[in-house]
Amino acid sequence: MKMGKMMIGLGLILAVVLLGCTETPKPAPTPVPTPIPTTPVEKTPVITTPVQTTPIPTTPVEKTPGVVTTPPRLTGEIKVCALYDTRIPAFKANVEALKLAIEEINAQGGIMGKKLELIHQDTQRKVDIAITAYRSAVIEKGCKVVFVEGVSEEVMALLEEGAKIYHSNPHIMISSQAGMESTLKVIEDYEKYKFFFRSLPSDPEMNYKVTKVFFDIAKDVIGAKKVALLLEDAAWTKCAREGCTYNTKFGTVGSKAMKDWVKEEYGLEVVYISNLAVGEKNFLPILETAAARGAEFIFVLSSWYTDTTTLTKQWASSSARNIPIAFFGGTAQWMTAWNLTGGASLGTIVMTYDYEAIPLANPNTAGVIKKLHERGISLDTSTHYAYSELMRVKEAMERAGNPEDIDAVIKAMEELEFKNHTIHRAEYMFFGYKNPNFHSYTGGPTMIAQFQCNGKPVYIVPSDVLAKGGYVEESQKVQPDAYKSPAELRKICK
Amino acid sequence: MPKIEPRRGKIVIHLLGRKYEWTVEPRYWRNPMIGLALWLTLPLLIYATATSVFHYHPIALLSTLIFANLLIMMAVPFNLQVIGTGRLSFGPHFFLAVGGYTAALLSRDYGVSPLLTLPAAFFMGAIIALAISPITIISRGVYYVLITMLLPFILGEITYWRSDIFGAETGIPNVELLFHTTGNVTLDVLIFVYVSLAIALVFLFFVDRTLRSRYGLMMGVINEDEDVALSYGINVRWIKIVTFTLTSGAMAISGWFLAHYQGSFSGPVWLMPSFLIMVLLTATLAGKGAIYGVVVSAYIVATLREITRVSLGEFSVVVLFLILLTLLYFLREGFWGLYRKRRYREYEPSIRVRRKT
Repeated sequence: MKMGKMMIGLGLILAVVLLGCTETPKPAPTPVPTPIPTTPVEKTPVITTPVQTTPIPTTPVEKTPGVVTTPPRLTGEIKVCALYDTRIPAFKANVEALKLAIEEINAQGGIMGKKLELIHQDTQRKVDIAITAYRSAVIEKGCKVVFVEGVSEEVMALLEEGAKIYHSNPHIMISSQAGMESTLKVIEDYEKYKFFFRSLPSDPEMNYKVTKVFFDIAKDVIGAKKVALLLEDAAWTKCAREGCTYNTKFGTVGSKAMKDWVKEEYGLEVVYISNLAVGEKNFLPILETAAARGAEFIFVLSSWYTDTTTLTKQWASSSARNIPIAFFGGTAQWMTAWNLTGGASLGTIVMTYDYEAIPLANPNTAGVIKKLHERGISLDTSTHYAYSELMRVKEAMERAGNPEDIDAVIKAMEELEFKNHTIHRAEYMFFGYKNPNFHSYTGGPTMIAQFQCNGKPVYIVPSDVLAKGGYVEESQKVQPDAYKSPAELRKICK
Repeated sequence: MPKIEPRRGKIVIHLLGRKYEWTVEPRYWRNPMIGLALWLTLPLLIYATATSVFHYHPIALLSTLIFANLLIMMAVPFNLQVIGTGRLSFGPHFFLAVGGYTAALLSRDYGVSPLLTLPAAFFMGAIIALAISPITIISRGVYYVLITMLLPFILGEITYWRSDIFGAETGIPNVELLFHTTGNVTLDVLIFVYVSLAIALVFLFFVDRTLRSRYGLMMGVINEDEDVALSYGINVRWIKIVTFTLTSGAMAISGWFLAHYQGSFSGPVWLMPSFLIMVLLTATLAGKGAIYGVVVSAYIVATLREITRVSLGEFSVVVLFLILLTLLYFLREGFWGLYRKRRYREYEPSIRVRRKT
């Protein structure tokens, strides 16, 4: 028994010493009196956008009077926690993007004089660990801003934790790419979950408005008439696979199944649909069937769950190799996809924001991509979101006038017309719309490129699509005419 | 009226025609009582020490204790299942998910309270286990391993296929919490520590009583050699089916706890092989059939996982498993073996022969 007791005692001492001493102990937080709950509609009268039945992006309202133009100088620091499993390259990139943003903010004097400090906590992409890390981040370490990885199962559990913690330890939680259900919670019970922001459009918009541009390319740039749809079998693609409708108190949002709207709106014949099981590695039968059915364009709706590197390699060696293939997500978004696939990605069409010469109007975009490339980081959309959202938090805290007043910061986040997002226009990432995109992004056109010789991306989005989406300057820089078929590229890129 | 009969080293209680024994000799109960007291006071001790001496809320550490208790809740019935069926299952987490989904769906869709979802989760786990229990009779070796290994994968796929019911990776939100918040988050977590500890303790008690009963003896024989068990007239099939059914139901209670602790339940998270590995490591490092060793093992595994996580970053998982592998190698009889080595008289009689010199 002595040994048993000794083991327990040792474990306890080790745990207390190692866990308790990872930071300077701080006094127990004093509970902050809870304000009387009010609905968001009542609290934010400046938002004039009416409740919509379809989530059309609306122009953000102008700034309310009383904006602090010269914020007072404060002392101390603001802790920003990043809860990511950095073994996953995309999440490592998110942490590096946050580090970069913090370096830049601190170089400019911080937020109203308060320096930012980044605390990274490993989640190992497990829910129970994420909960532990989150509790530790907010309660033990005193983080005011918590970035969490876009893993739906984690975010859903953390939302419940956050709701319990918020009133004693006010903070903001930001997640990119978690499921829409998380945002629905904010809409349905604002006072309980108002601390949560999600940098992604609602599922119907994600599966419809964001993906539409691929079919603009298929029809107008490639001239395809028959398409094959490969849809990842995950919760977030339900709208594309089956169609969906969400009723919220801010209106209804929904979309038809992709096979239906592709036919109705673009007149394209869907000759083959296949669901991609999560973790699938053998795509050859799917690609061969798409080729046998006469597909002239293959669209892959996938996230990081699908191994697009393997899919690309198998595409390049299958009888579908001459059929243009377009990827929505995954490693295909990276410039390094070229090396990862050994050049097999030649001719693939991808949504990429990892190219320093990307034709975006924001002057900061190329600089951010360059700086992260110098750190050996490849960028997907979530990397940009992490960087940009911290910049937005800075502006919101300055607008609120007090970084410690999180209720005011949340209100400022909702009202702020943030113009410095590295990849999106302000109207697509306005958090305050009183529609189903409340506290999340709004769907719109994205920058789609084709990997051409030596892995150089050429942006082939139709100009009119970009112009209609408000990307007027960008629409003059894209080159849809430069599209070449995969077969042609293989000939000329030897 | 119960009749109490003092005997040498024990008290015998006659009640309703049955006989119950209580061993009063201190060497048999003193150490378990000390261990129990230590276990019960550990969370409070941590809470009090951290808040009063170090002036911080030990919420991460308390959360780790909950995970340790969860491992106990899984590993204790798992151990009994292995003994009683004579088979090594690779699907205990399947039953956790069954219990979690049952509780979460009943709570969210029908507003059933946690008190009622508890028996529902147990019975759902037990009924499914009963339905598939013939596998404990007709299959053995790699076939049994494969069958039990496939069950979690099948359920995982179903959660994606019927995401309208199970919510795929997003899971089932809006599950009622086990109790209303006290307003103090650390205190809430401390209560959850004690709830999980109580469940683990109940499991320990039942498994302990079972192993000490004649059924435990029969299970032990089945575990050693089924043919011998049959030759003794033991109803091997009956014991296997009952053991498999009830222990699976117990594992489903772990899922019930998770759903009402986290306020949501996502099956794919727990159906991952990584969680199975933690349960298997906990059970193995405890020592063969050593249910009390599970407590020590679970607390060490969970604490090591947390220590490596906060201190070693990306290498944490590698280092954790290297440590656990080393422990597996050096502790041939697990953590309980360390104790038994010094307390041999408590588990087997021995005769010392003094040689004439």
